[in-house]
Formats: sequence, structure tokens, C-alpha cells
Amino acid sequence: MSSIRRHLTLLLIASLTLVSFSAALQGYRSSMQMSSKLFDAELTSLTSSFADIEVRPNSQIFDSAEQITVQIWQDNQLLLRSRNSPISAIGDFATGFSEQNFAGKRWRIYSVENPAQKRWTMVAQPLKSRSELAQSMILAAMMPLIFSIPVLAIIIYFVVSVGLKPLRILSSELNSRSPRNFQAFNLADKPAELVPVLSTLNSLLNRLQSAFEREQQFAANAAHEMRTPLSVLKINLHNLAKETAGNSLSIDKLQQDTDRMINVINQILLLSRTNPEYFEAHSHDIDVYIIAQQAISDKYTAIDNKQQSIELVGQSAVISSDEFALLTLLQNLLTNANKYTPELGTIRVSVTSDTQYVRIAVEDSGTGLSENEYQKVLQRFYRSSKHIKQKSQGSGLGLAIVKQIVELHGGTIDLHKSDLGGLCVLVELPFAPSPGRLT
Amino acid sequence: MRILLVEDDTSLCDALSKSLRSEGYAVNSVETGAEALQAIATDEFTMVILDLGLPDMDGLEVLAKARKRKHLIPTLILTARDSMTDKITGLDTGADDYLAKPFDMQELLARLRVMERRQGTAHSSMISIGAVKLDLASHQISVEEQVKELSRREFMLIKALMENAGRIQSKAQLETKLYEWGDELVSNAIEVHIHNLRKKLPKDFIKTIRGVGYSINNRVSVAE
Repeated sequence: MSSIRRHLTLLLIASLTLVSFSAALQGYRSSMQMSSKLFDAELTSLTSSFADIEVRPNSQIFDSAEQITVQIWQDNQLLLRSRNSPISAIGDFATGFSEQNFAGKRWRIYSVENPAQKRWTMVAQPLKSRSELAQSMILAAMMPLIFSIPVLAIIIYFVVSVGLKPLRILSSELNSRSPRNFQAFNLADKPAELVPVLSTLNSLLNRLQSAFEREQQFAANAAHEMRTPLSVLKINLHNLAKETAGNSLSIDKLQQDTDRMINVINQILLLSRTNPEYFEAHSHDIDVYIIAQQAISDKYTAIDNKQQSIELVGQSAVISSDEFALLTLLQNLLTNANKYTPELGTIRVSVTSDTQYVRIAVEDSGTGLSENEYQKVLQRFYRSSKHIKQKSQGSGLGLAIVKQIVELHGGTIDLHKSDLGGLCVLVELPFAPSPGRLT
Repeated sequence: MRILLVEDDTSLCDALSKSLRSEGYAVNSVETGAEALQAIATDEFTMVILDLGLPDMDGLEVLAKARKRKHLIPTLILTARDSMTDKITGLDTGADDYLAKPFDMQELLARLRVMERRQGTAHSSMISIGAVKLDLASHQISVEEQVKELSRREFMLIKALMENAGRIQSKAQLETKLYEWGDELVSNAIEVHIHNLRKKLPKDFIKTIRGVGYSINNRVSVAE
């Protein structure tokens, strides 16, 4: 992943280094020129001082400094030379500067003629000393700069970090947000560059929220509005069935389908009510065992009608939840167990807990499900092929709602075969749900 | 048995009236809360079926006003609202039962029968389920005309259970019934009394729903 901070820091350090070195290069060149001028001037004055000395007409050798070589010629005779000088002429017999190689070095030579005595004086200095001077000059100038680059790099890194702080705050806020939090972002320190980003983000969030609310409200409202007409339909069908003394098969069918429609509508209402906002606003400490007792009492008429035996085992377990959500979860599981268990069957509800989880299991002695259907039944509107064959009524929403409620708690749901012979739905709800991990 | 139906939806009102009449109830219907309060004040009705969404005032307000005027007429609330808070508010306001639309006619009739039975305890002196008859005046129970004596606590328990036949009474609910008489209870008091009651009643007449409570088994009508 590319990071703006890293990218910016590297780019700035690289440019700084590049500029420093090109400046050093430029500096070296001008130092070189300067030292050349300086040495040339020195060489000229040195040569003129040699040109004026008195020399006897036989060849003389004297000791000179290593950094200087001197020759004095008259009528092609070497009158005087320094010990480090060769016997041949080191320079041209023409006034001015020249460069030659001898004694294993490259030299710069200045020749001058004394016209009265027809005498040529040549003084040479090695070129190396010039570049050495230039180098030490430029090194002295550049060294502090080179040493300061790492320090600068650290400073740049921190400056860039501080500059990018608003962006980092925004991204960490975005990261920590729960997916259903549509609240507008507001940064304390708002740089001009982030203002359009924030305002676009906030207006997008706003629109998303209203779309989301509309979607939920629409389903809930539509379902709600249908309840009274459906009640009327149901009562009229009941009256009609009485009038025809139960002889009409069509009325039976109509009643069944009306019930199915009612079922779907109830479940749609439940889905909208078990949304995370509602849940978070209504959570408080609730005893799962007591809710299980209530759910069994509520569903007892249907269970008793099929002469099924039901029992509740386990003990009280308090978690933070919404009473309605928890009751709905248990009622839906019980409705399924009641529906898919034959007459005189057995249903067992258990509430157990350890340090981390409350486990709610609803088992029955019914037909169960095949293993490859375990995941599918948790999807909305899915109905098991077995149940369709049994012609049982169902909306295919019951377990989807259970799953949604389990997810609200940050829990898990698992389906397997019960030792009673039918299905066992095991729900595990953590005592402390991880916040903001809702889907 | 005269029922006051408070419902502003004409189709629902017509269908429900017809249905209730065919069950032998006399039904009068009104559409507004004000009319409902007037009708309740006449004392001509034995029960009220009250819709919460009325044009002039909320159904709960009607109920609250009626209760404030000491009209204790049994009331069943009928509503499209079905959240727990509405249910609790309804029962706190003094409703006797609560049914969410759309409801099953059989369910409504069953609820009315329970209310009637409870109401009956005030007027008649007998609750009978199959072969079991509970005499509310003499605190005696008879199984196929064979009379058995009951202790005061046993009578309280079997009365609560028989009034709510077909529904579960939790141990806590039954304990509350006894506490209302100011009795001190040991922890297994209910179990002991139920055990004693069972000896006097047909087998499986009182059904234990393990972990939840007790219920009267409607199907047991013959003695063992």
C-alpha cells in the first residue's frame, strides 16, 4: 500500500540530496577556478623574482621545495635549476603559461624572458596542489550539509506527519465507524484542502441515511397498512366458512393463503424492528431464561394444540439485549419447532452459559433438515424442500430474522442434528458484544 | 353477554360484529373515543373490544379515562401496534388482554372466553372444565360429581389455573397470587400444593411444563 507520508518524505529527501550535490558540484568548479587564479598569480610573482636574481654563467643546482621547480636558461644553456628539475627545458621559450608532464606529475609552468640578458626563467608548480586545495575547500563547505541530511530527513518526516494529521484523523474516524453510523463528520482542525472532501462525504452520508431510512420505513409502513384490511379479510373468511358449514375447499385454501400473507407481513415488520439503531437504543440487562419462559407461554396454545410436550432446562443468564429482539428470536425458533414437529412430538429449550457466552438451544423431534440446507435456511425467503413437500405454511423469513438478531448481539448460530431426532438450532450470544461489528 | 366494539374501520367493524353475533354475543359498535366513554358509562355492557387507533383520541386514553371513572369493565385491546412497550402500556393502563391485528378469530374468541370466565367468577359461582367443576362459593372441587375439599391455598391455585385453562401460569405468577393474601411462602410451596391438588384431580389434569410453569390440560375430561 502506498502511503502519502512515506512517499512525500522520500521525495523531499531525494530532492534535497540532489540539490545539495549539484550545489557542491557547482561549488567545486568555482573553487577550482579560484584556486587556479590564486596559484597562477603566485607562480607569476615567483617567476619574476627568479628572473631578477644574479646567476653565474656555469650550471648550478640548488635545493628547492618539493612543490616548485625552477630553470633559468641563457642561449640554450641551463644556467640554474632546482634539484627536482629535469635537464631539458620544462616549458616553452615563450612568455606565458604552459602545462607539461615530467617527474611523474603534471605541472603548470610560467616562462618569462629577461630581454636585456636574453635569459629565460621557468618556474613550475604541480597541478595537483590546485585541485587539492579546491577539494579541501569544497569539502569544508559541504561536510556540514552532508551531515545534516539525516537530521533534515527526520525533521521532514515529522513535518509531513504533522501536515497530514487532519487526513489521518479523518481516516481513523472512517475506520472506527460502524457501517450504520450516518452521522456527519466534523474535524476540529479543518484544512482548506479537506473541506470539499468532508462536505461531499457528509452530504453523501446524509443521502445514504435518508435512502436507508426510506427503505426501512417503506417496508414497515406498507406492512403496517395492510394489517387492518387483512384482519377484515380474515374475519370475513371466518364468517363465510361458518355460513357454508366448512364444506368449501376453496374457503380453506383462501384462509391458508391469507394466513401466509399475514405471516410474511408480520415478519417484514419484525425485520425492520430488529435493525441495529433500534436495538442499540433499547438494550438493557435481560434474563434470557425469563424471556424463554415468556416465549414458551406465548407459543403454548399452538404447542398444546399439537399435543407436543415442551420443556425448558438450564438456568438464568443475564445479557445486555433488547427484550423484543430476544423474545422474537425465541418465538421464531419455537414457531419453527412447533410447525415442523409432528403431533405428540417433543420440543426442548435450553439456556446455559459459561464465562463468555449464553447458549440458547431449541431442539425438536421433528423431520429436521438435510445438512446441505443448514446454511440455506438462514437466508431470507428460503424454504426447505422437505417443508414445501409437507405443504406447511411459512414465509421463509423466520430464521433470517433469528440470524439478524444473533448478529445484532455479535453472536453465532449453528444448526445440527438433535439427539431428539430433529433439528437443533444453537445460538451463542456473547456477554459483551464487540461494538460496531454489525453487518 | 353484551359487547361494546370500539372500532373506526367500517369494514372491520361490520365483519367483526357479524362474527361475534354468530357466536351468540350481542354487539353494539361505536367509532369514536367520546362515544365509547358515553356507552361505557351506561353500564349496559359486559366487555369492551377497543381499537387503539381512533379518530378523536387514542384508545389507551379512552381506557385510562374509563378506569379513572371507576368503570372496571373487562377490556380487550385490538391494535395494529404490536411492540412490547405498547403491550405493557396497554396492560398497565388496565386492559385485561391484548391482541395484535391481524388476529385469528378463534384466538379472539378464546381470549373473550377467558375474560368471560374471569368475569363469571364475579357473577356465577362455578368454573367447569370437562368433568371438573370448581365451586367458587364453597371452595370445593368436584370430579364427576364427587366432591373434594380444598385448602385455601389449593383453592387459590386451582382457581388461577382453571381461569386460564390452556395457558401457562408460571410459578412466579402463582406465588404472586398467594402473596396477595399476605401469605409467607417456603421456596417449594407451589410444588407441594400442586402435588396435593393432583391427588384430588384426574391424572394429567394439571400439566407441568418443566422450567416454565403449570397449565390445565383441556383434553382431560374423564377421571382416571
